[in-house]
Amino acid sequence: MLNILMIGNGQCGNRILDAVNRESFGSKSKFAKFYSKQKFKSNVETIAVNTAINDLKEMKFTKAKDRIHIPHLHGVGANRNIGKKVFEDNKEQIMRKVEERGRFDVAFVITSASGGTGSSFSPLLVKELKERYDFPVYSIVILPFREEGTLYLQNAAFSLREIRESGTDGIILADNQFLKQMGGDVQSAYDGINSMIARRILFLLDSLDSEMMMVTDLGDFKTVMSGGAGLATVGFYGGDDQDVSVKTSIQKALSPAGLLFSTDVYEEASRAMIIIKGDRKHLNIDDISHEVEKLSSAIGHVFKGIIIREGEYPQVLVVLTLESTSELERMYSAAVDAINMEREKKSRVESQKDMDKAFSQIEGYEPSY
Amino acid sequence: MILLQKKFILLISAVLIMLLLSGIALGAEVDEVTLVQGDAYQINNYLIDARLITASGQTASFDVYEREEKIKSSMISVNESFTFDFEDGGEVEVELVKVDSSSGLLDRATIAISISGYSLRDLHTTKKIPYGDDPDFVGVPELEITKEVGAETVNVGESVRITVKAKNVGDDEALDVRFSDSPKRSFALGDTILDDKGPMFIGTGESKTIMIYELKPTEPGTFTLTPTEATFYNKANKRFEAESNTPTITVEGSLQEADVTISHSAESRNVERNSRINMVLNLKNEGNTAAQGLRVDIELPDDIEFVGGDDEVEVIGGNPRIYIESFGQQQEKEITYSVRPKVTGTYSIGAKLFYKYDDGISTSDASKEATVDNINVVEAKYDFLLELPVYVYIVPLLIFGAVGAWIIHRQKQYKF
Repeated sequence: MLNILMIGNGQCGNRILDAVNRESFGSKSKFAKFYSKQKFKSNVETIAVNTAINDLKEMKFTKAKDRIHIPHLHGVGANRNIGKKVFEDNKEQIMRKVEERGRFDVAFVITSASGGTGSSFSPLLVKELKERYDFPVYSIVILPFREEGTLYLQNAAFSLREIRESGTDGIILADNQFLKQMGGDVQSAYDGINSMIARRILFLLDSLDSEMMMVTDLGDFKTVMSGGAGLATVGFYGGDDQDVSVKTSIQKALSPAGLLFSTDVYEEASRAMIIIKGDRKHLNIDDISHEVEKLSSAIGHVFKGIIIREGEYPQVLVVLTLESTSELERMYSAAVDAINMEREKKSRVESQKDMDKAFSQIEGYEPSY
Repeated sequence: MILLQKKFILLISAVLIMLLLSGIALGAEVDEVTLVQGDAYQINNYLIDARLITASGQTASFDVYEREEKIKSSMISVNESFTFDFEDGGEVEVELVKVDSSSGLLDRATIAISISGYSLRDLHTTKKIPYGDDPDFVGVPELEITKEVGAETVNVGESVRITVKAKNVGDDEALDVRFSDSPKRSFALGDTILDDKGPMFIGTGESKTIMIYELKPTEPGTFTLTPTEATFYNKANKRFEAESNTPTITVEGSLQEADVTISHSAESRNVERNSRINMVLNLKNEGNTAAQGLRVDIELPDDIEFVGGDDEVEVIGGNPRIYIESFGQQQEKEITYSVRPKVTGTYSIGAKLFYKYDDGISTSDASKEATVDNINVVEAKYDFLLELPVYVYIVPLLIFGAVGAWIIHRQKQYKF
């Protein structure tokens, strides 16, 4: 059994971590924690870290002992410089909590790249983990809506770079901008994205620690994640429709509708791992081989694993590492525009010191009534 | 020989009896006294007055007085005697024993006085009265006792004053006077204003008020009071008795009474266990005076518990009780209370009424009882639940408890 550590940083990381815990109960009911048990295959320890106590209070499915509040008013206000200082001041507290949980085989750090706490804590936390432990640390990074604002865009640009430079063993990207195609209001969109990411993480954890007909394991996962540019994403499909064949399910998992990040799989992917789960009668090995071969002929090596689950319809999870990503280039381009816009605003504010001249006109005067 | 001896004994006995009888008839010697002219000898209220004494003639003459009244004169020679009638049938004999003289002095006569038909013990005065001294006669006190009533006709319960007076209408003082007054039937003794039954002294002609008290007739009718009696003595320690008149009192009307009736009822006589039964008590005073300290003790069986009731109903020592300080004539009251039977069965609920009232003479007690019988208590609709095995309740409770504890535990685990 694998020992897995999952840390959710900041509001976004907390919510996805809470969604993972909720999904692990196997029920959508908000009372599931009272009558159900978490169905992790592995020994999974979850830790939520935040400077905003309200975000921690909103978590419903993560145990209180797993929530670490770093006192700093109610957050760092999207200011990564403040966030980094707060982390440095409190990192021993966080690391002590990690240490108390024992030894791990793998760790996942879930964070938004755009916010304050998550984007500033995560690079430093990954760095600390890598310096202190020898298990692989993977980062699950959520990219912002492009229209969320200039501060978030520049945060995302710098944070993603710092995470990549922190020594992480791989970054799995999920892009809110890409996922907003799900539609609905902002809240339900966020909730839907969080649940979607949580279900993929659970599927991945489940598959890394399951008996398989065709084997993939943590070693294969490491190999896949070490390929390409250190960036990856995940595709998923299935489980709900008996009329969809495993072949179609693989194709849909690799299509834009199944991915967490916009990419052309056959053009930009470097390595892949396909995990297929379902009842034996639905898993046509020829169809599976055909689709795997099709992918491997385009990108190179593809690890595949098959998990037999009686009575379940076909489900497919694909982990893809990317050699390049045009979408990320577009985001960084937008981030540069955002940085320039912030600079201009700052210079404009400084130039408005003319206001001081205006105020100076009444210097030495008193109001007369 | 034997016959002669018997005759002798009989003769001797007869002689002795004759001698005894003749001794009484002959009289007992009272005194022997020497008198000179003017002296007297008093024997009770009689005086033997020495008149003319002549030694030369060996004679003497005497006058006999009963108090102031001369009843006899007699001149006798030595060894002669005369007699006079004494009180109570007695007879006194005076014998001139001797007459002598001495130069320069009056002649003296010595007389022997004896009495017959009268006991010597009854003689209270036997003494010589020297010339010039007055005799001291003893009189007869006589008490006239009157018992007066304040009213001859009264109503039942109405007080009537009794006054007892005594007046000495005799000719001597009444000594050691003691009065007695017998209990009065059909009357209750009220206030006593004066009660002086002696011993006391009542002088000649003196009047005293002995008793003043009040009586309350307890029943209608005509009643004659018993007399007040008195015993007393004169100076000679002779005992006398007297009694008062016996006045009559007519009593009209009747005694007052508080007649409180009680009725007791149940709203329903067929009830389910643990349901409430409303009970009603009705009280009414049909008498002609108020009842005081009215109390109703509600007697509940062990398996019936008291639930509540009107303000008059209080629980003392676990038992419901009604207490009303005063319950006037023709006053009515309805009091309700509720009980709850805990066990099936047939029950009776009793109510005991106690009260007091003033009947005009004294405070009387009264008690009555009213019982509601045949209250039939049956099992309630869900009573079967109580008869189920304990585990039927314990198991769900344990489950609920465990679930609750689990929820609390979980809540604490996730509460931040």
